[in-house]
Amino acid sequence: MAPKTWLSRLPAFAIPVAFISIGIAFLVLTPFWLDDYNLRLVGLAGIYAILALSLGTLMRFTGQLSLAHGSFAAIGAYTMAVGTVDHGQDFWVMALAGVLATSLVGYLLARPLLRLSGFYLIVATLAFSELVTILARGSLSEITHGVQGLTGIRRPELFGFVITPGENLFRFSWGVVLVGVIVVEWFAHRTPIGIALRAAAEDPVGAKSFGLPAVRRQAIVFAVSAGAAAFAGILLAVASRSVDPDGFSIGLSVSAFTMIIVGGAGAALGPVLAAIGLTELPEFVDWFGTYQQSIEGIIIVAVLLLRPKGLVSFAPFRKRSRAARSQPDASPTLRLAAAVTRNPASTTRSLSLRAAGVTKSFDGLTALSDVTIEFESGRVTGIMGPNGAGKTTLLNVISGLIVADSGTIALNDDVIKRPTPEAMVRRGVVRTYQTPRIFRELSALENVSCGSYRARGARRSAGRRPRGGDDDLDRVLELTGLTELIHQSYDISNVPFGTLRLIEIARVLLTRPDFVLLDEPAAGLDPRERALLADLIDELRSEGIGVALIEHDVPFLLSVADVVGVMNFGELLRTGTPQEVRHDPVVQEIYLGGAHHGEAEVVV
Amino acid sequence: MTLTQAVQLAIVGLIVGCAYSMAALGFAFTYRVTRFVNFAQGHLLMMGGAVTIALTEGGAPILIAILGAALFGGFIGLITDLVVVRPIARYGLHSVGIATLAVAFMLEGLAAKLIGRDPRFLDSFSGGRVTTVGGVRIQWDGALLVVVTVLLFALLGFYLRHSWGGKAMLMTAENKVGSLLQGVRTGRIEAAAFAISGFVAGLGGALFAPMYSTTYNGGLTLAVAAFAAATLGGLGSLAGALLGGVLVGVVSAFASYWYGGEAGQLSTVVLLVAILSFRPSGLFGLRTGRVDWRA
Repeated sequence: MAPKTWLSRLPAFAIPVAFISIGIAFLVLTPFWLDDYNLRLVGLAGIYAILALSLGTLMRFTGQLSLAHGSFAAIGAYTMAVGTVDHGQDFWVMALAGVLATSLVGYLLARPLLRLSGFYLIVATLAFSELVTILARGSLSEITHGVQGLTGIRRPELFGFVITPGENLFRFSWGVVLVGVIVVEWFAHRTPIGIALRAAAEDPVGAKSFGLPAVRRQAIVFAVSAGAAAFAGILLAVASRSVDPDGFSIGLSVSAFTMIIVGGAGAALGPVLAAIGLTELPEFVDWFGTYQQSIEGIIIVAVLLLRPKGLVSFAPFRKRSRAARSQPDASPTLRLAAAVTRNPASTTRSLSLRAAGVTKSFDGLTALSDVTIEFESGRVTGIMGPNGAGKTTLLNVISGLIVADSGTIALNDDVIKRPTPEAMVRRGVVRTYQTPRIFRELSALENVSCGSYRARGARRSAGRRPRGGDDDLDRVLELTGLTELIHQSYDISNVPFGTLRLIEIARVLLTRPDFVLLDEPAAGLDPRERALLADLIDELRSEGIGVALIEHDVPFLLSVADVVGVMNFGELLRTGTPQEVRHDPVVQEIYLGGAHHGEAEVVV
Repeated sequence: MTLTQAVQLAIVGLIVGCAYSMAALGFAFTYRVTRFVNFAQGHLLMMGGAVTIALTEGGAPILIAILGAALFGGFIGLITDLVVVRPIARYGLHSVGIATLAVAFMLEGLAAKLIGRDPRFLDSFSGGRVTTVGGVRIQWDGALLVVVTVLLFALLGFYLRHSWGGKAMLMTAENKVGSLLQGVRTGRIEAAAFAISGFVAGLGGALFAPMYSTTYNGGLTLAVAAFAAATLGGLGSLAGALLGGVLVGVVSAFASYWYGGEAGQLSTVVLLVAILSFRPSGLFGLRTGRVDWRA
């Protein structure tokens, strides 16, 4: 073991407690040592920090970025201004209306657009931002007062304090930031959905393996983020007592974005700190205002080139996980004490998962031709065959990752109409991948615990250390022999490959599956790990879980499977017991070539 | 609306659309070859106008000014690839997208330095000559833009299909690693794609400048129009970029006729959001923007 740093010896609550204390101290003490002018500036920075936090949150939980956040701020600010100035409504009522309206707009925008990849979403949000500017300047000018905008916004009152620039605005905006950062960090690390979303932001396909309906959930994140941006817009309008189209154009989005780039999107705190710097900067550089966007452009490129993760790198947090950089001295050992938890509703019944008449071709190449195969509870069904036989395609079809040209997937004779990955996980059919789907941004423990997101019939367990409470997590970790490793809070990038496989399997087991589909689980494992894997598969069988096992390692496959199917060129040629398959001439021909005419067995 | 009016509007739309196509070509081309989008394409179109205006004001002959604008565009495209896109590429699509957008904002500052902050027009190349055909007025400047656009697209299409360099570009677009193993210098190819895209946008901006008010912060609007064009045609398809540009131009011409000047801009944005929401692969189904979920 590498020597532990002082940080890793601190109890888990130390960092949040320290952060909150510093935050409160900052809130209480700053007005005593800062003069009024700078207090106004830092208060304004707090508003920008809210905007940056809203955008950073979106990026963190969806993996997408938006150039529409300036426009969301505009929608919020205009709603509030029009309501209070032109219609004499109460500030807080209109502020709430502005936030909610913007959230709704954000949601409606996100639902179709989040399905788009990379550039398209940037462009779509850019276009939306143009749309809002055009509307505010012209088409809606009867409401928005065109280029002039609205002035004379009254300052609102909260608990008897009028929110004026200076001390009150400072306390209010930074109070919101403090609460926001805490909520976001709590959501990111302590809620199953937060962990799942972080996983999906990194690897959407991987997140499907535990059944996260990513687009739907991400659209909600988008809506919340848009609402927060609207709130920032409302505060900006309060600070300047006016709203106009130019103040809320694409420039505002770019400013928010610059803060994210400078501060790094990995943690909530980075952009918040960057907001202070970038709001103070124009005070020292007087031509900054004239060329603001160009300068921000230069800053963005410079930071991306030099420190792509942002200037604030959160060294203490990283060090914590690096403390355990040394190779794990205990490679996983299996203790077969615990049982995997299946869905309580289905433990007593015997289930069958059946793919019938499945055909799939890619651009004329037939990957599967009329394959019918059945998996049963408590049985290990091996599928073997040479490269290109269609094994993985079959698994992709059954797990809902790709749609077959024809054929059906049925669970207990119930044909599943739309076998999406989410639907299959919900029904208890989960899979692993040839290359383990590991989320690099998540800790080792979180990589396992995100599987509990969809745990059927179970209390969801978040990324807490499994002490008491989290029974499922505890048991699954013990079953896969990961307990020791996970407790040392390993940085996932230092975990050896075989352990990554076990982590993926543990995650999958946490969904309380009835059927587990393993795509070449033994590949890349050393003999010790293989023995462990074989024991694990035995354990799954005795728990009544149906296992489908694709494997190139034929001896391994034949030793653990109850039934073996042999595929070649997209067809299922034989099914039988390992013994039958081993002696089957057709199988021998596939594996040893047509020239072979002896009684030799498949090499075992 | 009479038929003559309709034809007149269509021709106005065609001219504006060709300018959009010149920027859209860059979106499509860099995306096709490098999988990255240069968000500065709209700004390069704007810069084409700004540089031409600045050079003619400095006393340069108009041909030199146009050439200068095109070369400037090509140079910025090249620099963008070498200095910005390539080093940042390993951090992913988003970082590259944002970085090129950052370049676009730098260009705004440069444009403000060159031509100030007020909208500017370039003097007509032809002294404002107009030919009337059956009651339809055709500006010579506009005709020049259309002819050059069509020629450029044809030339690039021919080059891609019938020259070694062009084939190497298509190879790189199809499979970069494979091309690299075949001895294609993919780095140069990618740089060339950015440079050609910038050159075309600069030239387009220069030729468009007599008919369009060049403003230092007008690049974003042009970018949205050009991106709408490229996406309508299916991002990555060159012919699609040309057709898409013309379509966007014509739609916005008719929209402003019916609903007033602003509606043209609005129609472009709505067109873009709609196409992205409902048919991101473009009207002609040539390319797809959806994530491929296959493992």
